[in-house]
Amino acid sequence: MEGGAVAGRVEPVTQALVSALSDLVPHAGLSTAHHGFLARQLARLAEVTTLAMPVPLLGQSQVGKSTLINALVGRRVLAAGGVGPLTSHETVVRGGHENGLGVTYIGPGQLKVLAARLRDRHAPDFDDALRRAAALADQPPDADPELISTVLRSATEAALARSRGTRIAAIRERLSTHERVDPASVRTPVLLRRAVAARLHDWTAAIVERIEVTVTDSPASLTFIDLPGIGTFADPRAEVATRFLTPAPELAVVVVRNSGLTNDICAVLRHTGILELLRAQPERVVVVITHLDEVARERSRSDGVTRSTALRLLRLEITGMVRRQLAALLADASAGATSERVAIRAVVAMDHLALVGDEPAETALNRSDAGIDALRAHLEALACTWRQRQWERILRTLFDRLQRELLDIAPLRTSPPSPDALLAHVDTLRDAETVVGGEPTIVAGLRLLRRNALAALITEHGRTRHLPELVRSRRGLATTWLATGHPALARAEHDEATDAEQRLGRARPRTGRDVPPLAPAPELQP
Amino acid sequence: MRAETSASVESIRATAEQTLEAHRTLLEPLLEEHKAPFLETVNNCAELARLALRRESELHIALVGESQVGKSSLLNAFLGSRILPAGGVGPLTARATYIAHAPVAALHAHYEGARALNQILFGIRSHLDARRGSGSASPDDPPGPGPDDDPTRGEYMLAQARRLFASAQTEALTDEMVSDALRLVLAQDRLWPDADLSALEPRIREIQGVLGTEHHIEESPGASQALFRKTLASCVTGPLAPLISKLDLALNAACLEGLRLVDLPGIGVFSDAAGQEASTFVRAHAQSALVFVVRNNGMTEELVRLLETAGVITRLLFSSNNARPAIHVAIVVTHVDNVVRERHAQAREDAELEGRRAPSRDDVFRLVAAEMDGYIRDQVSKVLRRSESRDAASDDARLRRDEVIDRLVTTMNVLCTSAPDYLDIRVGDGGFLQTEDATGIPALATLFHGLADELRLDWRAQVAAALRDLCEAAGGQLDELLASKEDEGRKDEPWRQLIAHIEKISSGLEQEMAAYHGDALANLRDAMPAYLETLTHRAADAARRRLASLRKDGARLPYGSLDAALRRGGAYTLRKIDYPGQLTLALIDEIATAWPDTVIARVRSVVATLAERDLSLVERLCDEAARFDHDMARTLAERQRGLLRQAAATSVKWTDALLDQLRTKLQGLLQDAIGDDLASACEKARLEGANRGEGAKARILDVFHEAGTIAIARSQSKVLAVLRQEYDRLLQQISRSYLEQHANPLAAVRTSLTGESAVRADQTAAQRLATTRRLEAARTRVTELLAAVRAMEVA
Repeated sequence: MEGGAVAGRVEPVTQALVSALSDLVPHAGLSTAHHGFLARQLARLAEVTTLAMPVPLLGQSQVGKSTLINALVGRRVLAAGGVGPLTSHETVVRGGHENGLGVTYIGPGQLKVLAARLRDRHAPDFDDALRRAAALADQPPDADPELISTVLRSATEAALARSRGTRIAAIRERLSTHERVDPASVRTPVLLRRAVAARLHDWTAAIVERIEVTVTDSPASLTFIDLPGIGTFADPRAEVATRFLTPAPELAVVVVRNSGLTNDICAVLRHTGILELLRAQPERVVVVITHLDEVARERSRSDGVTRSTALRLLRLEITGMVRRQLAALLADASAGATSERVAIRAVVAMDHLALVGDEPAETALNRSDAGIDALRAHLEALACTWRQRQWERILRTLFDRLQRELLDIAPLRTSPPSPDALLAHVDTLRDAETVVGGEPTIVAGLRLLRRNALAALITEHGRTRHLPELVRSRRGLATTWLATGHPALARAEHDEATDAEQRLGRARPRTGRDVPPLAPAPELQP
Repeated sequence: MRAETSASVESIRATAEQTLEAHRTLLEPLLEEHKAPFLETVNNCAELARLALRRESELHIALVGESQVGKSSLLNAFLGSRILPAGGVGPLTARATYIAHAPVAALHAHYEGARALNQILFGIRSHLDARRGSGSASPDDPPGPGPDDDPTRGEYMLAQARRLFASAQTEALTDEMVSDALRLVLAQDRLWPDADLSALEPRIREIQGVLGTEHHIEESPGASQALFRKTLASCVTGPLAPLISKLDLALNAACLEGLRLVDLPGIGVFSDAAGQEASTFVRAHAQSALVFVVRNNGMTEELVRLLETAGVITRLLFSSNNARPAIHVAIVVTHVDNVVRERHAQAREDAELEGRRAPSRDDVFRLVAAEMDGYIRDQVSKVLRRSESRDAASDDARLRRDEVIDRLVTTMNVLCTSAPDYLDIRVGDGGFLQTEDATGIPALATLFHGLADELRLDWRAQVAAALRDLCEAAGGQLDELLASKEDEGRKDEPWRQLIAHIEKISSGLEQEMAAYHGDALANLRDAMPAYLETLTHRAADAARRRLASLRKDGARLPYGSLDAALRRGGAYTLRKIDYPGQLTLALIDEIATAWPDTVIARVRSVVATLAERDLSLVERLCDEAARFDHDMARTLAERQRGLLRQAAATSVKWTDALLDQLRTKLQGLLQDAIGDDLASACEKARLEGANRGEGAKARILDVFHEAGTIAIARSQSKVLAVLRQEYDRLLQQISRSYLEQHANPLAAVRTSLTGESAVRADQTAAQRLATTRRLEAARTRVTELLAAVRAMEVA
C-alpha cells in the first residue's frame, strides 16, 4: 500500500470525520461518561496524523543500535562507541521543534528492589548492583553493602530522608518524577549528547528509568526506542529489551551484524512476540545489518574492487543469507514466502554520520551507499501505514461503541446543524468509506452516520431530493448490518428503505431523468 | 629465542625417547620376568609419557569467538597478508583451519566421505518431507520423520547442499533438484525425475571425484602469493567447501615459526552447524591455549555458554594450581577502531566546544584500550565467579577458587586490536590509526609466542612429570625386587632344612622298615619249616595209602608175579609191579603239587606285602618332601614305586624248571632210599624162604609192606631235609634278590631327595647372584635417567 498516498487522503477525511462526529454525537443524548469516551476518541483521531510510530531497536550489545539511531537522526545525540554495553536504559529519540531531554526516574518500589539486591552477595548481578548503588548513595565502591542498602532504603521514607543528608534528599526529590531539562542547555546536538551522557554517568544513573530525547532533525513520524543490547554476559540490563518486546510490538527493527541472525537474537525473537509478528506481518519487521563497511573494506582490498562495489555485492549476499536464516527460523510451509516480505537493509551508519556531519571523512562511500537514507524512507513509509492502522483502530473502537450504545437513538431529534454542514458530512462519510477499506464495523458506523445525516436533511430541512440517496444508504446499511451480525436491524432498515421508496414513488412519480435507478446494495467484501 | 625453544624441544624429545627406549628394552622385560606386582603401573606411566610426548604436535593456539568477530582478519594481520578468506558475509570459516609453518606454503584439504553426504541427504529428505507434510512422502521413505527432526538443522543441510550446486546452475534451483543431484552423486535413484539436471552433471562428477579424498596443493615456487591465495580462497569458499572436513595450511611466514594456530569456525550464528565445531575442538584439545576473540562488548553469553559446556571454566577453576592456570587463555578485542572512531568524533566535537585541541586517534585508541582492558578483566572475573561450577563448591573451596580467579584475571593477557588498519598501514594505504603499534598487532605476535612458550613449558612439565613417574615407579619396583633378592639369599635355606628334615624322619622310617623286614623274614623262617614237616607227613601218608592199595592190588596178583617181584627187589615191570617207583611218585606228586601253591605263593605274598610297606614308607618320606617341592618328590616316589614293584616281582624266581629240578632231585633221592630198602628186605625175605610153601604170597606181601613202610619212614626224613634245604635256598635267593638289592629303598629315596635338594639350593644361590647383578644394572640406569629428567625439568 502506498503509504504517502493514503496519508494524503487520511488527513482531510479525518478532519472531516472529527467535525462530523463532534457535530453529530452531542445530539445523540449520551451520558457524560459516553461523552467523555467519545471526546477522547475524537481527540485521538485528531492526533493520529501527528502521532509518531514507536520503532524499537533490538540487537546484540555493541551491534551499533545507538550509532544507527544517531545516523537516522543525522546527529550524534546518543552515546555510542563505548566499552561494553552502553545503553542501559530504555532511551527514546523523537523529532520535535527544538532539542529537548526528559528523564523519568524510578519509584520508591524499584529503589527498594535495588536495595534488596545488595543483600545477596552471590546473586548474579550483585557486583553491578553494588557499583550503581554505591555511586547513588555517595559511598565508596568498597563500602559495606548493608550500609548502602540501609541508606537507600531510608530514601524511600520521607521522615528519614530529610535527616540523612543532602544526597538522600536529592534522591528522594527525584523518585517517581519526570525531569525536563531546560531546552536552552541542550540547543545543539553536542550539548544534548553531553547532557544525556551526564545523566547516565552521574550518580543518578542508578535511578534513571527512561530517557526521552527530542531532536529537531529526527523524522517526525518516528520515535526510536533504543533498547539495551542483549547477549553480553552477566548484563542484567538485557532484560529490559526482552520485557519491552514481550507483548508483540507493532513494529520491530532487528539490528544484526554481518554474521546475520545469532542464536541469542533468535532466542529473544522466539521468547518475545516478534516471531509471531514475523509470521503474521512480516512487513512490519525490519532487519538492519550494520558494520557492513568493515567487510567491504576487506573485500575491496582482497578483490581489488572499489568499496562501493564491494558493498553492493555484499549487500546482495547478506540479504540472501539473512533471508535464509529467517526462513529457517520460521520453519513452516510458507517460510520462504514470508521471509521474502521482510525488509532487510544493510547500512553503514558511521560513514553516513561522517558524510552528514561534514567531518573530514576518509570514507570512500557516498550517502546512497551508506543506505541510511533509504532505511529512513522505508521506516517513514511504514509509519504512514501505521498511522492509517491507528486511525482505523480508533474508528473501529469508536463505531463499535456507537453501535452498541447508540443504535436505538435514531433518528436524531435535536436541532440539527445546517443543511450545508450536513451535506458536507455526507460527502465526507462517503469518501471515508472508500478510504477505510472493507472493515465492516467501520463501514457500518460510517453508513449509520451518513444515513442519519441524510435523514436529518430530509426530515428537518425537507430536502426530499436526497430521498433516493437515503434509500440507497439504508439498503447499504442493511447489508452491512447483515455482515456485522445484526439481522433485526437489517430488516428494520430494509423496511424503512422500502417505505421510503414507496413514499418516493407516491410523492414524485418517476421521471427517469433526475432520479437515478435504485442501485443494489453494495456488496461487502468478506 | 625461537631457535632456543626448538632446541629445547629437541632435547626434551631426546631425553624422553631415551627413557622410553630404556623402558621398552630393559625395564619392561626385566620386570615382567620377575613378575613385578606393579608392572602395569610402570607400563601405564610409560604409556602416559609416550602420550605426553606425542602431545607436542597438539600444542595449538585456538582462536575462539563469535562469527564475524574477525578471527580470520586477525590472523591475516598477524601473518601480514590477507591469506585467509576474511571479509565475507555470514560465517566464513566452515571448518577448523590448522595453520603451521613450513618452508613451502601448502594447503591440505580433507574431504568428507560418502557417509557424511548420506547424512546430509537423509537430513534434507526428512526436512523436505516434514515441510511438505507426511502425506506426500515417497514410497521408499522410512516411516515417520527422521530422528533429528529439527527444521533448523534441515534448513542448514539444505543450504549446504544448495551451496554445492548453486554456481553450476544459473536457473532457479529447487530444493527437490538439490536433493536429486545429491542422490545422483551417491548413485541413488532420483525421486523427482521431471526436472532437468543436465546442467549439474559436471558438478556432480566433480563432487564424486573428491569424496573421501585429500587434496594437497603446494605453492609453486615461481608463482605469486596472490595465486596461492586465490587457490586457497576457492578451496575454502568455493562450491566444494561444505565437503571439507579438515584444512591444514602450511605457510612460509617467519612469524609462524614455533606456532600452531587454529582458526575455528565462529559460534553463535543461527542455523549454522559449523558453530558446533568450535565447541567440539575446545573439548577435544585440552592442551591447546585459547584465544578468545571478542568485540568491544566483551564476552558474550554465547561464548560463556561454550566455555561452560566445553568444561573450560571448570578446568580453569578446579585444575589450576597456584602457579599456573590449567588452560592458557588470552583475550583479543577486535574492531576497537570502531569505538575509537566514535569516540574520536565525539572528542573532536567536545574539543571544538571547549576550544581545546582534539586528541590524536592513536591516543584515543590507547585510552579506549585501557578502558577495555579493565572492562574485560572485570567481566572475566564475573564469568568465573558466576559459573555454575563454582556455585556448586563449598564456601571454603570457593574462597580458594577466588584466589585462583584473582590471579587468572590479573595475569591474563588482554589485547585490543584493529586488524584491518594494521594491514592498511603496512601497505602504506593509511588506515584510521596512524602507527602499527597502536593497532595492537605487533603485540599479538608477542602474545602468540608467549602462549606457545607457555604451552611448551606445560608440555615439558607434563613430559617430565610423566617420565619422572615412570622412572620412580620403575625404580621403586627394582628396589623392591632387589630387596626380595636379598631375601632370596635365604632361599636355599629351605632346601637345606628339607635335607635335615628328610634325614631325621627317614631314620625313624628306616627303623620301621627294618622292623617290617625282620617280621617278614621271621615269618618266613619260622612258620615255614613246620609247614614243610606237615607237607612231608602228608606226602608220607599218601605213600602209605599207596602202599596199602599196592598190597590190595598184590593180593589179586598170582604168586609167580609176586615172587618175581620179590626176586627183583619189589619191581617186576612185566606184571606192572613197581613198589619203589609207585611210592616215590606218591611222595613226589604230593610235594610237587603243594610246593608252588603254598610255599612259593606264600613267599611271594610276603615279599609283595613287604614291598607295599616299603613303598608306603617311601611315600611318607616323599610326602614330607612334597610339602616343599611337590614335583621333585612325586618324581622320586614314582621311580621308587616302579623299582619296588619290579623287585617284588622278580625276587621269587621259582619257575617250572626249578620245580622239575626239585622233582628230579627228590626222585633220585627217594628211588635210592626206597629202592635200597625194598631190595634189601626182599633179599632177606627170599633168603629166609618166605616165598615158599603155604602162605608165601601173603608173606611176600608182608615183606613188601613192611619194607615199604620202613622205606617211606626213612624217605620222609630225607625228603624233609631236602625240602628244608631247598627252602633255605629260596630264602637265600630272596634275601639276595630283594632284601639285599633293595634292602633300603628309603635310603635310596633319601639320597635322591637330599641330593636333589642340595642341587636346587646351589642353583638358587647362583641364580640370585646373576639376577641381582642385572637388577642392579637396571637400577643404575633408572637413576641416571631420573637425573636426566630432573635436569631437563630445571633447565
